[in-house]
Amino acid sequence: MTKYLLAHDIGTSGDKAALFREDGTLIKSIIREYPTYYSAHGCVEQNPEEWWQAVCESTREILGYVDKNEIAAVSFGGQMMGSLCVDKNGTPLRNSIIWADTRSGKEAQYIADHYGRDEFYYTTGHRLSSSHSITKLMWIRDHEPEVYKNTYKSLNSRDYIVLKLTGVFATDYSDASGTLAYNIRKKCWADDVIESAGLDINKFPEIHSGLEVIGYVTEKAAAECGLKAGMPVVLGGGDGCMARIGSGCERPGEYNINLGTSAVNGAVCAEPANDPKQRIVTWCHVDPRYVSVCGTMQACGASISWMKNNLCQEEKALAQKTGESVYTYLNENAAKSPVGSNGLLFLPYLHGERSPHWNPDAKGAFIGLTMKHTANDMKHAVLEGVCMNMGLIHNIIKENVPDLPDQVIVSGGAANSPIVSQAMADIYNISMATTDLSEEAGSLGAAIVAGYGIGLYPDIGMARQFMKITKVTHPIPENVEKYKEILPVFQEAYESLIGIYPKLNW
Amino acid sequence: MSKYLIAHDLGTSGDKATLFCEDGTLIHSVTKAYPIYYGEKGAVEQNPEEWWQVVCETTQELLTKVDPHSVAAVSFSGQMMGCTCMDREGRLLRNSIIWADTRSVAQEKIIEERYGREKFFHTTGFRLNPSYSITKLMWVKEHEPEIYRNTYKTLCCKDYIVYRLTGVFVTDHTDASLTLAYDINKRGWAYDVMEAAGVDPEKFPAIEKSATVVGEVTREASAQCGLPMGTPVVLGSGDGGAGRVGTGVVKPGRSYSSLGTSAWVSVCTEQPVFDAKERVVNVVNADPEYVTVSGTMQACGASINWMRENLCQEEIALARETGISKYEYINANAAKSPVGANGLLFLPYLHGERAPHWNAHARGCFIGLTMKHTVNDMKRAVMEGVALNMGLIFQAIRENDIAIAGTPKVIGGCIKSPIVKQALADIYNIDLALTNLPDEATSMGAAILAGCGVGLYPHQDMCERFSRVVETVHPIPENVRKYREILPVFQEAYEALRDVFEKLA
Repeated sequence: MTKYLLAHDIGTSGDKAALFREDGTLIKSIIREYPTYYSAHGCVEQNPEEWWQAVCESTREILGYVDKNEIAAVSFGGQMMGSLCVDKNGTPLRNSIIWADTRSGKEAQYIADHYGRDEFYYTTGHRLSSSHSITKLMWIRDHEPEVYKNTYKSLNSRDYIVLKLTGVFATDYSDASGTLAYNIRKKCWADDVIESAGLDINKFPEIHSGLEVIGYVTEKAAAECGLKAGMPVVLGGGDGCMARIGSGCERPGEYNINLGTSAVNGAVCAEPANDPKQRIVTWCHVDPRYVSVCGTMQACGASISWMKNNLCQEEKALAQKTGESVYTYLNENAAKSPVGSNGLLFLPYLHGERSPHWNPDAKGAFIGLTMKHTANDMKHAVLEGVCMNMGLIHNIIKENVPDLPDQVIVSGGAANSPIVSQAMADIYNISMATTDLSEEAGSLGAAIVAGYGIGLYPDIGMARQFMKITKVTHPIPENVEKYKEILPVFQEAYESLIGIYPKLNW
Repeated sequence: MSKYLIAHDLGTSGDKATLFCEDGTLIHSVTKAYPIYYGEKGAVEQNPEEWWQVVCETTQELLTKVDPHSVAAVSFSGQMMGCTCMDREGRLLRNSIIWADTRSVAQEKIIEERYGREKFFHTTGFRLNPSYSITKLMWVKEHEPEIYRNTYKTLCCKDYIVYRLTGVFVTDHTDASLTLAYDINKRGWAYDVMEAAGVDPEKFPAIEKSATVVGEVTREASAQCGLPMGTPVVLGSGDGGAGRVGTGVVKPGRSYSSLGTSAWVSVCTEQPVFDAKERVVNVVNADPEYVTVSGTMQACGASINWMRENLCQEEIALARETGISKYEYINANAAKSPVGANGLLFLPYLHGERAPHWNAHARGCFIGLTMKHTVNDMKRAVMEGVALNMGLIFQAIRENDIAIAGTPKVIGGCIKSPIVKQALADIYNIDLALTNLPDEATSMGAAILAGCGVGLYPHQDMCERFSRVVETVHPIPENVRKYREILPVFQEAYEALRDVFEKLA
């Protein structure tokens, strides 16, 4: 009997459920959205009950395509860095404060004062900021002491769904490493960080390997989501890790690029990075023997969809008429502008920036316009701008991680743009491969982990067999030279405006 | 019987000829184009014979509207800064090198070395730059020595037409001052500058006041253009000077802003103003008793046109459907963004910049984009960006203790935008007056000079007869405060990027 594997990717905008056959064929994928609640002072929350509802609904819909008895296991990728306080019964005590929430600036400063930023980077592998679980839990302690007192565990999104399915409180190494209460070097909760934050270490869940069967679907959960009771649940990991597994990156020396709404360069390594300028960070991989050295930029696909919404009226009108994708026209028009966009730069900092600048005040800019520039130059500049920022990150990873491969798998929606994949190859000066599963990398990763967890697969490198490389884009030496000239100017343009960004708030 | 005045506005793209009744009524206006010849290394030329042909054609058309004998005088406003070399018999020796030509960069260096930049600024009132007549004549001397040797006089555009009508070689103070071979303090040719430049002072024509009858239409000219022989020809002015007469900027403290393809702020003063940072420059008025301190930005309407072509597909499509002006849609959409464009800046340096930065390498920028910004914010930012740069120029003038008298006028196509005109009033923090004929100021100035020359008018302060104020734009205090916050950031953003602009060049 053919076996199937179910993958849930608990994202920011919704849950994506994907069903794979054991040979890696994608049968069906479904997205169920849930709301995000924004409020003043950088508060961004989600309701975990709505996560669960979405997971149940998407699972039920998937079950329209497969007999539930044929699903061998389920696993997960999920948004990280959040704090969901649950009591002993697993009942949420408040909404989950999700990764995008930045209210806990004071708390981050407290850790800086009591632990030290450099020491913190060394211990956790991450820069200290208000984006991670630890400062969010501190905020809850200080502002909602009742909630804190009743908190049995602070979980992440995936942990909560696992809890709902199995009744087990647990997290995995990759998610733990995103809480910043984790010691990346000792691979356990960072008791000294937790102590200086003044938190109770017992409120953090037990850490397990993401590759383990953590439990089995309970009768109650089965009744709600439709899965077979007793089905194995493999813990899984954070969404970034899963995309890496789904691109075939499981061992040191492997490297991948994901160009989603945000974008990340990630290299699997044996040891954490220790970049003297703290421009890149280290996560624990889902295979806890390894880590991923990563740099994430905020607005990759986001910049491109901003451009589509604001500079591509013509393409949108055409697409409506012909039924073609608006991106086809967008790329055609952008291609009318040459490499270097006729001297026009776009700084893709529409959401501030994480790597390499770590500046929440950074803003987007077009720099270098003349009368001769057209909207097509602007479109080309946006596509190049995101690639150049990725290039800056890549160069930093190269400084810290020797022996990166000379071909890399690039996944995510933006990789479909021929301009983007060529510019990536030219700027990185390595070949970029896209696969038939490039937009499903996260789900595929979770499915492979599910399969490995129950012994169906010999290792978690199965993606290399499952995905087909559909296109390899090689660097063009002439372009490589050109971008070598442009990249320092791109960097300098950002730096020139550092004093301006915070003033643009009238 | 009423008397009539003909004003030729000799622009870059063509001649706009206008017939006015002496009471100021505009009777008829006709525009005809002549070509521009672009060459290598910044060469931009025109054929003065083609200027003359077009002047004849437009004149003939105007003369179908009135009895040619009722034309009391003809006068001119003309493009400035050119170099038209003519021999003793009045023959053209080559095409005219016009204002936009920038080939004479090496010549600029020679003056810099031999005379010094700062001294040059204090003599001519202007920044040394390869856009003006003197370096062009130096170029001719070096590269076409034969032509230079045979040059009897070098004329500006309107001077050439005056010569064709009357046979007289002459220029006026406004045009003379923008040859940059002119001493603004003495109001005469700057012989020391000419000496440093190595050009022969004899090759420059005599200088007369603009409102002077310098001759009469000759028999030969009459046959070609249709004006009766003997019609008085009043010298006229460079277009900037005529614009000032046409907007009443003829007394100290009077001011106007012109927002066309390029844009400038001008304030009339008794004496030249030597801004320590050389951000603004000086030209002589048509009445050489006074000078005007002024700063010109390169891309005002040009920025807005660029924005229209590149960011306004939706409005263009809508306008095509409905027949309503695309600018109406563009303004309506830009108005969806508030004052300050939600923190988005546009630096309008699409053509490099003259005032206040004088940096040919400056570039246009949008700075401060976030996911929340829309293309409507970008549209508003472009409009505000040109107004902010005008604000920097206005501020530079005011920093030199120049008092502004009365309500400055504002003219030019861009002020049809309600956003631009309000932003300008807010940024200047001063009332601004709009007239019923914002596009006719230079023609009216030339007509006033024509009338003064033949004694129809007692003085040049006559613009009220020709046009009236139809709207006064008042600053809105809340916006004033906001722009006061924005303007220094706008300036700082340019400065921050100066090195990057060099690298993009």
